[in-house]
Amino acid sequence: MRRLTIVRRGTQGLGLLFGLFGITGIGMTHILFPGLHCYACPLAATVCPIGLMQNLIVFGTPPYFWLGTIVAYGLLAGRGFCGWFCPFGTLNDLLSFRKVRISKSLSLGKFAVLLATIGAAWYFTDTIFCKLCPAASIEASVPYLFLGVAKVNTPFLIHMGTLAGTLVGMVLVSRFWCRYLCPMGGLLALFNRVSFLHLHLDADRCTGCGACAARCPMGLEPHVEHDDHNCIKCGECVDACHLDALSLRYGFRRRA
Amino acid sequence: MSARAVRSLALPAALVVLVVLSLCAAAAQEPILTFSVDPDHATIAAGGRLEVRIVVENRSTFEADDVEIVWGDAAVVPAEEPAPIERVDPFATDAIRLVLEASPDAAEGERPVAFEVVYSYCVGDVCYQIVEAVDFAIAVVPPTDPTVVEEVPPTDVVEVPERATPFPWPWVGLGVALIAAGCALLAGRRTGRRGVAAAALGLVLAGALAYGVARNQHEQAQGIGAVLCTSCVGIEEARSVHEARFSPAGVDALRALDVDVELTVFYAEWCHSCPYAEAMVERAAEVTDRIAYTFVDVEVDPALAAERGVIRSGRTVVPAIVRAGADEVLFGVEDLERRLLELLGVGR
Repeated sequence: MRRLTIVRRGTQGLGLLFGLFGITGIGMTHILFPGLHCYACPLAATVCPIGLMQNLIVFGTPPYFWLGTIVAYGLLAGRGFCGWFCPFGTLNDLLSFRKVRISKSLSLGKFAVLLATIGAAWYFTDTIFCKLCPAASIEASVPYLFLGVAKVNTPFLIHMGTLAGTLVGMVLVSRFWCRYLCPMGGLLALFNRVSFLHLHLDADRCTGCGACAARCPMGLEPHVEHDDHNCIKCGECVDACHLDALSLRYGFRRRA
Repeated sequence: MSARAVRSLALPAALVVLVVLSLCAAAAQEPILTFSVDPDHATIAAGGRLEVRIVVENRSTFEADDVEIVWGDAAVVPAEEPAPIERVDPFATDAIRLVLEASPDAAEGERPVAFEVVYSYCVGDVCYQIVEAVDFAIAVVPPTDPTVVEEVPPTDVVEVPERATPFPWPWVGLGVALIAAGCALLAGRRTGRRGVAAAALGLVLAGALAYGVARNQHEQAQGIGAVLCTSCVGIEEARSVHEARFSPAGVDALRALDVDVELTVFYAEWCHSCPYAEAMVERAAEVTDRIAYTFVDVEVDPALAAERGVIRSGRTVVPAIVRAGADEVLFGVEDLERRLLELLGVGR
C-alpha cells in the first residue's frame, strides 16, 4: 500500500470517529458533517447536511447557516471529503473491487437525486430522501431496531432494500454510490473545480501510460481529466504514477 | 455552441436553477389549508335555517392564523357573523360552525353558494395572507318542508387585525449573492482565474454564515439533529390524525379503567406522526375521565423530556407517550392502540 493511501485510511478512520463522536455523551452539536452521515444515528454528534436541507425546505427557512457551511466545505476540499473523510465513502472504498470506467451521463444522476430530494421535500413537506437513504439504513434503522424503537415494518424493509441495492452496486462497480447517486457528492461536486484541494497534472512528465486510470476508484482518466466534477481527490492516481506527473496540491490553482 | 462550452455552463446553470427553484418555493404564496363543507349536499327550506360546518384542514408544517369567512352569496347567508378560528396547528383539523339562513323568497332548486376564506401564515419572518374561494351547492326546498330549523347560541366575533406582508428581502439577498457567485464561477472557469471564483464563494460563505449564526440558525440545525421523529427517517410510517380512533373493543377496555392516570405526550412541531399520538390520547380521555393528559413540545422543554426518559442515546425521540409513575415510554405510533391500552393496564 502506498503512502497516500495509508494516510487516507487514517483520515477516513478520523471521519468515522468524528461521525460516532456521540459515544462520548456530548450530544448533538451545531456542526454539519461534511459527508453522508445520518444525524439520527444514536452515536451521531453532527447534523447531516442533506437531512437538514430537507428540513429547512419543509420549514421554508432561508438556509444561510447551511449554505455558508456547504460553501466552506466546498472551498476547503470539494469532493475531497468524499475521498478522505466520508464514512459512507469509506464503505464504498472497502467494497471497491471492480474499477470500471465511469459513465459520464449516469454520473449526472447524483445531481438528479439532489434536485429530486429538494423537490420531494418541498412537494411532500417531508424528508423523503431520508426514508430511502442507505446511510440511514445502517446508522438509524438497524441500531434503533436493537434499541427497541424501530420494528421490522414496511419502512424498515424499504431501508434494507435500498441498502442491499446499493451494496450490490458497490460490489459490482467501485464507488457506485459516490459516482452515480450521492446527493451530498452532488452538492460538493458543484465546488469541485474551485476548491483549494486539487489534483495537479504536470503534462510534461505524463507519458499517457494510463496507470492512474487503472487505479482510479471513480473510473476516471486522471491524466486527461484531472479536473472532473467526479474526482474525489483520493490520491490513488498520485500513488499509481511512476513518473510523479500527478500531485495533490492545496491552495489557489494556476492556469493549466 | 461547442460541447465544451455546454459542459462548462452545466454546473453554474444547475446552481442557478437550484437557487431559482428554492426562491420560487419560498416566494410562492401557497395555500396551506384545504376546505370542505359538511354536509356537502345540504337541503334548506326557504326562510329556514341550517347548520353546516366548514372543515379546515392544515396539511402543512406552518401554523395558519385568523381563519375568517367572508360571505358572498345573497340567497343563502349566515344568520350570524361566523366566528373566526384564531389558529390551526400544523397537520391539524378544525371547523367553523355556520348557521345558514335562506331568504323566504329564495328560489327553489340547487343553488350555488360561494364564500371566501381569508387566513394568514408565517414562514420565518415572512407572513402571507391567503384568500381562497370555496363553493358548494345547497338545495332550497319550499318552506313547508320540515328541514332543520335549529337555534344556535350566538358566537363571539373576534376582530382580526390586518397584517402586512413584509417583502422577502432575505431571500432576494440570498438569491442575488448565489447568482453572483455562479457568474463568478462561470467567468473564473472561462478565464482560468479560479482565485476570483474562490474569493467570490468565500464572500458568500462569510456573509451567509455570519447572517445565519446571527439568526440563530446553528441552534435550529442542532435542534433538528437532536430530535428524532420516528417517521422522518423511515423507522415507521407516519399516520394521519384522521386515523386516530379506538376500536370498539378498545373503547370497552378504556371504560374498564378504574384508576386515575396521567399521560404526557412529547412532540415536536414538525413531526408528522405527533398529531396522531396526541389525538389518540385525546380520544382515550374522551372515553374515560380517568385520564388526564398534557402535551409537551420537546424543543420548548428538553429538560423535562430528558427527565422523563424520552431520550435514547442522546436523541430525543418523538412522538413519545409517558405515564406518570411508570418507567416505560411508548415511542412512535405503530400499533399504538394496543400499546396504549397496555400502558394503561387494560390491554388484552
